[in-house]
Amino acid sequence: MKSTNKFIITFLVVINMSLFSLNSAGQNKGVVKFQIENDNGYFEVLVNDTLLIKKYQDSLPAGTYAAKVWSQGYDIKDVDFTIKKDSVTLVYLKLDRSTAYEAYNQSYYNYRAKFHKSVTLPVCVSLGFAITSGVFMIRAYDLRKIINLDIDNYSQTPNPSEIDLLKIAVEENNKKYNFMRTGFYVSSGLAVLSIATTIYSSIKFNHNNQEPTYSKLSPFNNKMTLQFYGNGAAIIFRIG
Amino acid sequence: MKNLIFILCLIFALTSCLKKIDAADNLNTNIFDKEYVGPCWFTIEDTYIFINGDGQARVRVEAVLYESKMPGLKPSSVKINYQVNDQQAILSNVITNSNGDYPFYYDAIPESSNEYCLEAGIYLEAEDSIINKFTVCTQP
Repeated sequence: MKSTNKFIITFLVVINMSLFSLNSAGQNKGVVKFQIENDNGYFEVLVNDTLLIKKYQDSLPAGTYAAKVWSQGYDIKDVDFTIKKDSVTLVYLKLDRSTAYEAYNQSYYNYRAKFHKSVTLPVCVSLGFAITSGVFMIRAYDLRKIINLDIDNYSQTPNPSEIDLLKIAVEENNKKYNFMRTGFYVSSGLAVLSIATTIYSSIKFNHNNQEPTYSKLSPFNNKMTLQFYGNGAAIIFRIG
Repeated sequence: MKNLIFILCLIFALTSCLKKIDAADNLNTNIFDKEYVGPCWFTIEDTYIFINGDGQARVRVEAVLYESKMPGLKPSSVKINYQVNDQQAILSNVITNSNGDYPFYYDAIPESSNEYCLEAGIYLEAEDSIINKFTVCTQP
């Protein structure tokens, strides 16, 4: 059994708004609106190292706050802001890409390029040869049917001019049929060869390469979370 | 492994049906084909001396184009041009009998050699030509 050293105890306290001092009625509160410039549109704001906000706006008691803003793929950035009673404070911040994320992006790009070279390309080539051999086979079967029918007609007819026409048709179709047969054998061989190459290169690729990963976990995950509801609020402490 | 065996069997089954069509290179078995290379298409059934209505001795060479030598669709008659030795050639519209065969005969003038060679060919009316001539010799 695995060790439980990563065991997290979540302690949830739900406090009625009437008992908690964050109730909006009769409080010195203001609204903060966050305008965080990043590519993914998601961000988290850790206010005073205790309150984690995942919303674009929230109401907070009047006062000065020191916040940390984070978004996936971006560095944590500090920002200070002041909330005034019954007013809206706009906090604008442009996040900077993290070096680790840039490195991840580059390595993921390289990984995908290798993947396409080792797997996608051989698969496409195999598929191409397989489809080509299928087309050759179908055409060959169709021609074979026509030729056999003409040969049968040849053995049936006592009409010399019809015999001449049938012989010409059989000769032409037989040339095409032999071409299709050759095409089928060649493309089938190449398909088998490319399938074997695909299997080999895929195994080799999986053996030598590992898909780069980038943690999507928030650095604020272990912090307390405060969430507001219609009739109350929840404070979530994470210990461990 | 099972899949591989299945794929190999499938490939084998498919390719075995895509064999070379030998018959396509050997379309020369119809006696109405100008390039016919088969055996003689008629058989001499009998050869005998008889006296005709004018009181003259003649050698009758009886031959048959058997049904088995004909193509699948059998006409009611076949135009055959034939002669014995270098005697007068006959162009005859040979009609099928009750067995489906096409019998014909030639009344030849007796010859000192006593050998009678029947030469017969299929007459093509549209081209006014004779094809697939064969000669078979016989004695009464």
